[in-house]
Amino acid sequence: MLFNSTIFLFGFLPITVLLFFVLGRHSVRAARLWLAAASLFFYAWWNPPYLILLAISIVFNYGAGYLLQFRTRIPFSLPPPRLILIAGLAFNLFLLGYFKYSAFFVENLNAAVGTDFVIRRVALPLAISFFTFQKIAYLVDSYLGKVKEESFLNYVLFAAFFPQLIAGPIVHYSEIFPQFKKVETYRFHWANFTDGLTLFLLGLAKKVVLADEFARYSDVVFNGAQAGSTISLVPAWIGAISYTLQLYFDFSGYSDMAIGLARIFNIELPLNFWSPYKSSSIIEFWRRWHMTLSRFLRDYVYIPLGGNRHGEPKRYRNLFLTMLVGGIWHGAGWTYVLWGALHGVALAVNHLWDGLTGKGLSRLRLVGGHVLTMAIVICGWVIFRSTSLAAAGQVFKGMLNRNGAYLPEQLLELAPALRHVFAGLGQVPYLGDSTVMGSFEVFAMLTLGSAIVFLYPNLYQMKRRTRLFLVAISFAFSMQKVIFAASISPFLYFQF
Amino acid sequence: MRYFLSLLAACGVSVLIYLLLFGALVSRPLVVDQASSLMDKKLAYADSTPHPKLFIVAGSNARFSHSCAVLEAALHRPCVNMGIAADVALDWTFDLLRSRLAPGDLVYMPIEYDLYSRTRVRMMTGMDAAYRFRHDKRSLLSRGAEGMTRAAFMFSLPTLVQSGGEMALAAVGIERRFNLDTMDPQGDEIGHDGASAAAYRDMIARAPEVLPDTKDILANPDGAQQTIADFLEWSRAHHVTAIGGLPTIFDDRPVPAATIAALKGFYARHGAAFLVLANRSQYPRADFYDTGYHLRQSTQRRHSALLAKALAGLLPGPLSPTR
Repeated sequence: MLFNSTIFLFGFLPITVLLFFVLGRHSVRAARLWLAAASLFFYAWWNPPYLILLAISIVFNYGAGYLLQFRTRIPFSLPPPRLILIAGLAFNLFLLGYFKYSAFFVENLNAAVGTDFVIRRVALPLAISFFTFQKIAYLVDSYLGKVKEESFLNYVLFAAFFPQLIAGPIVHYSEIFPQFKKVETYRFHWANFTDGLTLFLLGLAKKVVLADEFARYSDVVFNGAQAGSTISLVPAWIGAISYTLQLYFDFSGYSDMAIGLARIFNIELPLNFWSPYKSSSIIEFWRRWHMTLSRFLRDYVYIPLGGNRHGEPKRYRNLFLTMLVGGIWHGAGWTYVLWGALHGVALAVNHLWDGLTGKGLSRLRLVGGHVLTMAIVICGWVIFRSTSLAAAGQVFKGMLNRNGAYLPEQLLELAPALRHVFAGLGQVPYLGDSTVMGSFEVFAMLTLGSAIVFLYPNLYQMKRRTRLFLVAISFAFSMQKVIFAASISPFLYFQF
Repeated sequence: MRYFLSLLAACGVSVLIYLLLFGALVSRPLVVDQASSLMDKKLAYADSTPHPKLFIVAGSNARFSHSCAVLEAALHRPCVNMGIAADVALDWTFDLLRSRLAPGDLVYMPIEYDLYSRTRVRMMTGMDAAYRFRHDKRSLLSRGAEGMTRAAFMFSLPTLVQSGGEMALAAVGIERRFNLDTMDPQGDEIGHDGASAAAYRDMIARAPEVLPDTKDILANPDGAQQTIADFLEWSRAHHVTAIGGLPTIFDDRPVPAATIAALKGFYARHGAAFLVLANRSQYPRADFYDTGYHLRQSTQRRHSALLAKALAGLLPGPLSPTR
């Protein structure tokens, strides 16, 4: 069930909220039970058999966590906690590895050593990357003594809480469940309800009004590149920038919706985005983009690898490896590996540069840093979006003006000065439906999208009044997409 | 509670602004409104000529690939090319046509392959719906409450962006490359050949094949097909001869016989004939202008001459002078 579907908006959500607070007036436990059941139903809606997988994962991790937290209560002897932790991590990584990486691994093994192993491709269970990381964090926190949870129901609710189940934010038990333990959480609060609904509506607008439109512009370019077509200068840049905007509006929109939904239930989820495209360095970018993933990678990969505790060279190695893990986490493909490696190198170079030059904040440095950061980020997204390295190469060739620079002939008739740079074509392939007005639309929408991400504060910096103003200008467009559009599109991060 | 009521008010205001914006304030003069201007010119010609007449009905395939001027001269009866764009819903065209048809008239319909499977909802949200919601809301009443609502909520943010751009361009006198001046009195597109076609040569060479998929061509029977079927039945009841035909496409591969049989069967079920030219209306890519459905003018005329010969034997009633 997608957050932007009518069944969710007008069926699942109102019923779940209403019953949660009605039950909560009488029994906290009943409300928790209802919310957990509703969350599992929400997950099962896509593909009921995968509910079994989620259930197995929940039961196993609850059990492993219990053994780590309450080993003194167990009447028989247990292996050392470290072994239990390793077994727990291995189980989670096996599930993720089997469903997400086995086919990729076998294909590459066959290609590398000439074997012909055959592996049946299995559909990737929804949200497996997210819930696996969340459960790994739970086990590690249990091992470190940061978590104490006896109740299975509480654990199920933490693991399956539907606002954050599918694509995060990736939360720690210790930041969510104490909230569920407060009685006030089960009392309806108009302010939280309205704040949550406002955030949800604005996140919905980011997704359906902005991201889905940018998807139209980028998909045509990247699909063309995948088909082996030549992509010229302007469509290549438009494809790259459109995807940059699409991914931000899509994923940050999803996160806003998740945070808003949780707030309706009086639960505060951590922020996931903080105007990432305003960053003036790649270090800053990763503090602002998918912040809960960055936090996970820092706490459960980078620091265990040694972090910055063993000198600069090892620090750079650890940064690189951490980002490589981050890349591979996103998907089983060489494009994700390369994307992670690019960011790993960029982060290492950024730290090295800061070490050599100090962290000055001159205007030139901020502007130059911002331009360079965006260049790396956009190039990274080209790799990330492409379905193969060859397709990414096609787009890069276009961006580097190796495939010619064209604009619609009619546009050049209006602005002849552009002929110094561009040649005219009746219709430029992969550019705005290949029409002049389509091209105008693309340029105008990219300008609007860029203005929003570069110039305006994010939703969490705005006052309530400003948010209401944004609802007033976006709500009808959102409803137009949700109710009247021919189809709705899933969130990009659902595929991970 | 007050805050919540403010949020509800913001949502309400949003819908009001939206309806006011697209229903009364902004428009798309170059693309959407132009459809109406083109239609007005075609209808003016239809109204000024005597019966029996010939009408060509399809999307832009009619306008670019068929020449009523040629057909008129060959068949000695007025011919009106009703084609504008595939995005103009056929029911609008048929509604405008019905009051202008008389017994003995002939309607030839080389409808684009993909139009047959167009859904009912898609039919309600074509270019004509955008125009009618902005300028002629009363005419939408024929589509009922659903048609009105769908027309009212068919506008997205890019529509608003395009409206701003088109209104600005129109204000400084810039027109689309196709406009009233590139259309002859009969409603045919003209001048789409020679130098202007050269700009599209590479694109046409690379354009994907426009070959219909037999199994999908008659999908969604409650959409455009129902509209066409209703019109065929109406024509038969009013002694108007309606004839189906094939749209012009590349000759990369012949149109499958099964597709033709399916279309013939559809027209036959509703009492209409279906005309198939020897070349199945297929031409080399070099004969096309800017898409797989648009012939260059020289081939448009050649195709129309071929069509005139085939239609001559199907014309009902005695021939009459043009004017």
